[in-house]
Amino acid sequence: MPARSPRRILGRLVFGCAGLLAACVNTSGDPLTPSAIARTYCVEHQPADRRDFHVQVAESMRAEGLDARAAPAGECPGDDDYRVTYQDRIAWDLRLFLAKFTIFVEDPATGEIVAFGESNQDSIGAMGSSHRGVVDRAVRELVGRGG
Amino acid sequence: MRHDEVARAKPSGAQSVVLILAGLAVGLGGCGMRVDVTKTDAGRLATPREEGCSVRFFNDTASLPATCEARARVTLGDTGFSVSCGTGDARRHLRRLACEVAGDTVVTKSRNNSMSTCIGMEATILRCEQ
Repeated sequence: MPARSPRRILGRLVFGCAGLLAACVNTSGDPLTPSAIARTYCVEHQPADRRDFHVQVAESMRAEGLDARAAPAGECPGDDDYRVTYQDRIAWDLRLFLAKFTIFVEDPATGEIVAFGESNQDSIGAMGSSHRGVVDRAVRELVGRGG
Repeated sequence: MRHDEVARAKPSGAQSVVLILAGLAVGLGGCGMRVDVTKTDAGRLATPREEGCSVRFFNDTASLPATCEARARVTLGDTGFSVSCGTGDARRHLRRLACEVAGDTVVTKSRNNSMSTCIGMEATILRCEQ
């Protein structure tokens, strides 16, 4: 039987990798209701965050047309209607990358989580994505414009 | 090894494709998250609500009425092979379980595991509306 050609092996590798890459980035969310979108949001800095993601989240929300501001820990909601929190997961794979970013919108009166948006990506999926790009994906899920 | 034995041992191109697809299907689709459920007596005896019933989610800092009754405690996490294990997956599991034990409220608390990108979560399912 003839030996397999490098081209055939390469073809299978590409096929396998293409399948894996398809699942490298996934987003999910329970979007804000239309009535909530017209409200104001206070994005609160999370104590474990050393990258000031609250500023990026607020910027990204404003870019999506929401009235959002960033605030230090403990200063939300202030005069705003909703408190926004987030969780980030930084992973390492020869470089640091943002593996998971989840944004929660809470009703400060009840503590109910009224909406969330999340973006997950592995090392390959995060290639070419800035932290802001990942935040933007999560925010798009939050407003119901996710992929 | 004879020539025909070698031919039998190595999969054909079509077989290889099937094997790759099967591996991907198991690796990507067959590995959900670990869900440990402990129902209370009230949860075990409850008549389930309809599938996809309305459930409210709260974080663990929320103050809920003292009249809320615990129906189940749930731990969600990584099996080590989990792929579908984001917040959306966790909430789908919790919603289904809440309907099963006639709950209407879920209180969640995140548990960080730096070795996993899966969400780690502890949740309590409650019935608050009488």
